[in-house]
Amino acid sequence: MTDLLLDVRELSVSLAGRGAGATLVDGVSFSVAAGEVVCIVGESGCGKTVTARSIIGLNRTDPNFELSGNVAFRGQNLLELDEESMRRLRGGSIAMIFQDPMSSLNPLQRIGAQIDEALSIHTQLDRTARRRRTLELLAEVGIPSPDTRIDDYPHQFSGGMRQRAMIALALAGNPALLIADEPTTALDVTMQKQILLLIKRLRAEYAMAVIFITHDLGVVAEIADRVLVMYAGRCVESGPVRDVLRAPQHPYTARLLASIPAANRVKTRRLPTIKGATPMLADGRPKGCAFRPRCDFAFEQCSDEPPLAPLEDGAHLSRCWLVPSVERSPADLKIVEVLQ
Amino acid sequence: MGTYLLGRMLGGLATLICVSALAFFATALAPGNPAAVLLGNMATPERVEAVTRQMGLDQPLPTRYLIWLRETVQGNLGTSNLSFKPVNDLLMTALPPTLQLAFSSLIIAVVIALPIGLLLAQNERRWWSRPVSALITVGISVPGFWVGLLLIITFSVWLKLLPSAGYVPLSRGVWGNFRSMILPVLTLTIYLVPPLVRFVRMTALEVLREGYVDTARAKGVKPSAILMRHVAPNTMITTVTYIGLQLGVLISGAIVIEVIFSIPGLGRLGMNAVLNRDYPVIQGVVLVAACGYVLVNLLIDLAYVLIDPRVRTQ
Repeated sequence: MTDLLLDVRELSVSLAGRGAGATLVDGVSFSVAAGEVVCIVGESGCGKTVTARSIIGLNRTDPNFELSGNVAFRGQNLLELDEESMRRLRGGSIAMIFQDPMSSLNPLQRIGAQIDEALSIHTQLDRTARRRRTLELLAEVGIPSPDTRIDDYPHQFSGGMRQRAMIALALAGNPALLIADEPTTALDVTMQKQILLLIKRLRAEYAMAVIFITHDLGVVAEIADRVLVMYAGRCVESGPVRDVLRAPQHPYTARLLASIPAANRVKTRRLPTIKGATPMLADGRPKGCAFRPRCDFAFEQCSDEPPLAPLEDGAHLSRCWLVPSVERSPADLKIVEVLQ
Repeated sequence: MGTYLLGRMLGGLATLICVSALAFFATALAPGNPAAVLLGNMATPERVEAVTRQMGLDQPLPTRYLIWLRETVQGNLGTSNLSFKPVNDLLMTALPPTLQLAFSSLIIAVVIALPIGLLLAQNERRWWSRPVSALITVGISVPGFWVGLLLIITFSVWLKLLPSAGYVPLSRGVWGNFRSMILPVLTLTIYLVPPLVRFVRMTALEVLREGYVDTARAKGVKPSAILMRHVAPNTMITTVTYIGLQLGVLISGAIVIEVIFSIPGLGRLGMNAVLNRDYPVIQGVVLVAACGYVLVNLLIDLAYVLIDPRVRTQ
């Protein structure tokens, strides 16, 4: 792969102190090339957000979390970096946007001032230049008439506009890596599409890599170069987006795909769902394959944890004993075609 | 914003009317005839009846209230049944020491409690945070008068540094006034600080969990700047409300402390009036306290406008 930007190796995050022992992220490895979009997919509580926050170091000073492994950003292990250098990276080379635009902006500060704060930390610009740059950024993320909106407060912005402002804020430091933690989840459908297209466009303009966290495989099909499917804190499948969506190898990925509501899907009386719920990791990791209780294909061997094994071409990995021949219902396959 | 402030002012006016009724009826309905108290051991049934009529106490209650209200609105609070001085004059001499005591204590308490509360919240997981928080909880349970007495014993009786009682008005020298107020203000401050610290700490802990604090950290803002620019202002919104609600505590605390340090303030005036059934003075003191309460809460509503843009533009 060309130009490795981020290389996460065996990242584990576990809870320390009270409730100790629960491992929220368990030996996750993946890499992001410069300019690449990697989607992390999974249900709530699968460790997607914890993984993202560990990369940008939002939980590194929190004694409730214990991090281990290696997060190499441009060859430098971020987990061993001192907090002051890490702080300079945050909002600079690595930026992050969050799920809920309603709460991620300070209600007492003007939009412009909040972007200005990022610019004053990560650039050498003087006050007037920063204001000019803020206006540019707001225009770039599609805020209409930025010169009248720059001094608005967050409550004067709609949800979609706030997320645009958050993106402008993230761009302030010219990031090489943007971490987007479900940035479209809290928005309505039309706004989701717009924000998605915006991130797609900006990614090309700024030549930045994006780690995009979502539970929406439709979004994955739209934006991703590569996919990482997480279940119960572990990576269960990863690979190029076409391979994973066309031929999902792990039953969990296949079931996620089957449960996308789509207008032109094969008619079934009810939308397929995945039975059961994700295991509570605070109670300890279940023995064997964590997906076993919910899996239609479970058999004796599943009481042992399968390894994350490559398929023939080597880029597509799956953690299932049945690889490479998971039997899928025709409905699932149809969905895959729809997505492509 | 205009309608917001207008609404608040009308609310304050309504509060004052209710308090005036309460102040009047609570005293007027209390057992015991002020005429009898006034006459003391010279009371005979005939005399009591004569004085009762003279004071207008034989009129029906609603009439008495309306007469009283008319006089009050015109700024005439009557004369003391005890000293026969105008209540206005009594209040005017009692007000300055109380205001000085209450407001200097409140300001010092806020200045001390805000940073402590914020730092406790930010460093919640440091080893020293828990013992300090425990100390604060102990502080909340300590009665104000006890602290006052301890301070008197230490600084007046043992060290002989400061006067144990009495009040020197500002007009008789800044230094003397300052010296006479050190212990009372210190006592009231120690009384006010712990609950305020606890409140600020609790609120700041909530604010620290807000999304915009994550955003600030993800921007690379220094921890100290996060505290000053993002956490502190958002903590202030609820803390300002809390301070307004604590005003009652401030007033009752001031009364106790005035009695301990024999400061001729509003609290002592009110207490003596209650003990002697001096109705006009009681009513005057209650009204002044209520006015102060309403006024300060109006100021707090104004402070919202300054702190929170959401109030400003609605």
